[in-house]
Amino acid sequence: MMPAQRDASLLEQKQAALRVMLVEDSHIISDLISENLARIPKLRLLGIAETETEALSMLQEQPCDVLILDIQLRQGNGINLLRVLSADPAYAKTLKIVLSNHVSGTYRRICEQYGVQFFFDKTSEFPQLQMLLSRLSQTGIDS
Amino acid sequence: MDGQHRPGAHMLRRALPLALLALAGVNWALYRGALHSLYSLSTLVFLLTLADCLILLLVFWQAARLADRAHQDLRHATSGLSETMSLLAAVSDSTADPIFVRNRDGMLVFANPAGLRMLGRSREQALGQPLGALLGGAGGVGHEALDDSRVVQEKVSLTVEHSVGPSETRRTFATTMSPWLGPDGEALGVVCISTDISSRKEAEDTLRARESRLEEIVSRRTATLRRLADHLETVREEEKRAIARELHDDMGASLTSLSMHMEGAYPLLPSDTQWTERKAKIQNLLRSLVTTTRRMQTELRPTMLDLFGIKAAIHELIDDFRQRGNIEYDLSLPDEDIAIGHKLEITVYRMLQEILNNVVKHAQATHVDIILDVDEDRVALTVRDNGIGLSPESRDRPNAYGLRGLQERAAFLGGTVSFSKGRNGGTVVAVQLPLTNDQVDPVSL
Repeated sequence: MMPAQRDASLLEQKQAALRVMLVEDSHIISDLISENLARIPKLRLLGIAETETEALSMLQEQPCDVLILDIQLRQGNGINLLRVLSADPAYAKTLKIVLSNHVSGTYRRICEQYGVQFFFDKTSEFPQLQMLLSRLSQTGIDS
Repeated sequence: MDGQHRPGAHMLRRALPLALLALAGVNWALYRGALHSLYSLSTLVFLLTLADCLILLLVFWQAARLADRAHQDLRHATSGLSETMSLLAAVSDSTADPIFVRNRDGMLVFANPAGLRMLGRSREQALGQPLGALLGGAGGVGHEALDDSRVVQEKVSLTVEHSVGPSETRRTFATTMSPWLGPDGEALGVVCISTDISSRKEAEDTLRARESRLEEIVSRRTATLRRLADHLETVREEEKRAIARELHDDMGASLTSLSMHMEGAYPLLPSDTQWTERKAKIQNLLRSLVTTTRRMQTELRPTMLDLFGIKAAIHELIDDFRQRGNIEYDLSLPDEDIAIGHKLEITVYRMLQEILNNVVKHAQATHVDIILDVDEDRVALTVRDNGIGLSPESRDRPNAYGLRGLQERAAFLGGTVSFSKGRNGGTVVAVQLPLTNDQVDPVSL
């Protein structure tokens, strides 16, 4: 295989992978999440943002398929981020998943209003998120 | 003038015709007697003389008796009058209360010595002068009211307060004006009797000044206490918020990562019964720890309030109350977003929390209406329940801190809290807070 071909196939592989971005302000948790996500084949973690501003600039730099975000952040908050994204058609196709410790019905309702498709309890429902991401990495986001 | 006013003349005028008539009658009767030869002519002369003398004597004697009696009556009356006069003079001369009489034209016609002293004039200088001008000359203030024409026109008594004298020795008088009525009831002038009320006035003024000073102190201290209470409340909220944040960032994150680690570890546990049971216990423990931490966190600080504002926070609060008991809640919130400032938001939220806690604890209600209304200059929160109602005794209980806290907090923010009976029983709590002063000066101690 020619080096150029190898590069192209690598690129294809990378493009085919599910591009995930994580917004989480706690290091222990983001480390754990990225550790767990690394085990999913065909999933690429583009980056981890700790604040609302950081998340926005990261999103503007590179598009992602799945955005996993927490509600309470060190600066700003997940809902504000969702509000901004919902107003921008460029992010309409991004799958938004909230992973938070704020799990009351009111939070779920508000998140739904801002186009969140999945809502997981950070403490007890992480395995379910992992399963969802594994499935999506296989079938693609459109399914 | 008729005889009633001149008894002597009347009596004489009546006595003379009577005497003449009696003389004529008796003379005629005696003359008839002589004609019938009952006695001789010489006897007639004697009889005539005797009878006439007798008649004249009787008439004069009677007249003299009447004159005596009239004189005696007059003397009695005169002495009574002079006694009254001297008594009146004694009273008016010795009293320390100034007495004035002015005629219809406002001229002074009488003043007792105290009155003259008040005017600072002698009797000769004062009498015949206008009373108003005399008082004005004596440094009077407010005596214009003494010219009130109602006393003469409507014949009513009036009392006015006025003062006399230079400012450093000014005396205040309460003067009662009564109409001076003539024999036919017409008003001839006004009788003024003044009482020196300077010391009473002074005492009143001192008392009033002391009262207002006291009120000022009380209101100043109340304001300080309210500011202090507000400061404590703000500090408490800040501390609670800090603890909640710590709970979220530290405990919450640790618990979350512990759970995640455990999820990875569970498949490695031996599959015997002992470990299956242990796994279930560990999961239960973790769940209960997470639930408690989250509950504490929300109670300490409703994150919803910081993230989504008062409307969402109230929704969440009501959801929480719904889960706690058999009470139905009807919520009415403004359609538009509410921007009333952070401080007012947390105040309204805590007030609602306090009111609902009271309803759950004491009201025995099955239905609660919550209405939040915000307009340009105020925010109004009304909570209406269908419970047993709030008795005044329980409201005024010395340890009803919750209710008092509501009132104090509202008062500090320039608002009000009212408790009333609902139309169908139960209690209506109405909170009104102005939107103008959400920027409150920091407390200075």
